[in-house]
Amino acid sequence: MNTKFIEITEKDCQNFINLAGEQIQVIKRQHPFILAVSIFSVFSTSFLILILGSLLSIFLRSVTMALIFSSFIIITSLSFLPKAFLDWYYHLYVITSRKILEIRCVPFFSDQIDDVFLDQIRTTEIDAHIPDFLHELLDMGDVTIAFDRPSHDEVYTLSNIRCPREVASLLGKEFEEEMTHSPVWFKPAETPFVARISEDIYPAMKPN
Amino acid sequence: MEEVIKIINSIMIFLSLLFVPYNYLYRSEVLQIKKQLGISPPKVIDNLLKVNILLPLLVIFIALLLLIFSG
Repeated sequence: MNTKFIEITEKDCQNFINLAGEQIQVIKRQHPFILAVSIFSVFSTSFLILILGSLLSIFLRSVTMALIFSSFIIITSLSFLPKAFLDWYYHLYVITSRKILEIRCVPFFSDQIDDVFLDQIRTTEIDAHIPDFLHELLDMGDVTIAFDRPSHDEVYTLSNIRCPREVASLLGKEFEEEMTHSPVWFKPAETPFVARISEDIYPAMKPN
Repeated sequence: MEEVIKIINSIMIFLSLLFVPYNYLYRSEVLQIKKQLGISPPKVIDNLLKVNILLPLLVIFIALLLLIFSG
């Protein structure tokens, strides 16, 4: 299994295969940098509030208050730490040979599952977008898949994933194969049409 | 001044108390998502979620003791 494209265990992958002949191509989470930023923001906010609380305790000259305030901040940061991690952990982009799926579960707050079946769409464009120097340095970026359904156009974005160029290239190849066999958009190959003239139909009319 | 400190301490203890049901409900929601998606969270995070349910109670108990003994 290529860990560049599939970032969960092989056993967990089986949960996403539920259609006939389906094969996993890409399962990705956002870049770990996104997780690091969330954890850093939890700690930095806690630290700032802790400083403010300590200043207030010094001003009010109360050791008890300082202790209670510190305990409260520790409880708060320990409660939000798993939240920061699990928000990142349960945000998955799954692309198989039959569907595109985005799962975004924020436990206790929101759930979002977007599912697109590949045999009902036509992929028109796959772009990799690395916006700046930091993203380039971390090999982080967006992959945008533009497709049109029979009813409307849509853009599907895999945001802030690792190795966007490789993922876009892989998806380009895979989708090209999938789309060629899609009965919604492409007429299945038939026997070539051969033009016939009257002499072929009525051989008696052929000049000698 | 004493009154202000008492009010702030009471607010802190009350807010800490709110984290007990929050963490309990949060963990049950995580277990539900785990069952739906079939993806378990790492062991460290699971243990942290368990600790988080009891930790506020322990802290509140210590805070109440502190308040009682400090008068």
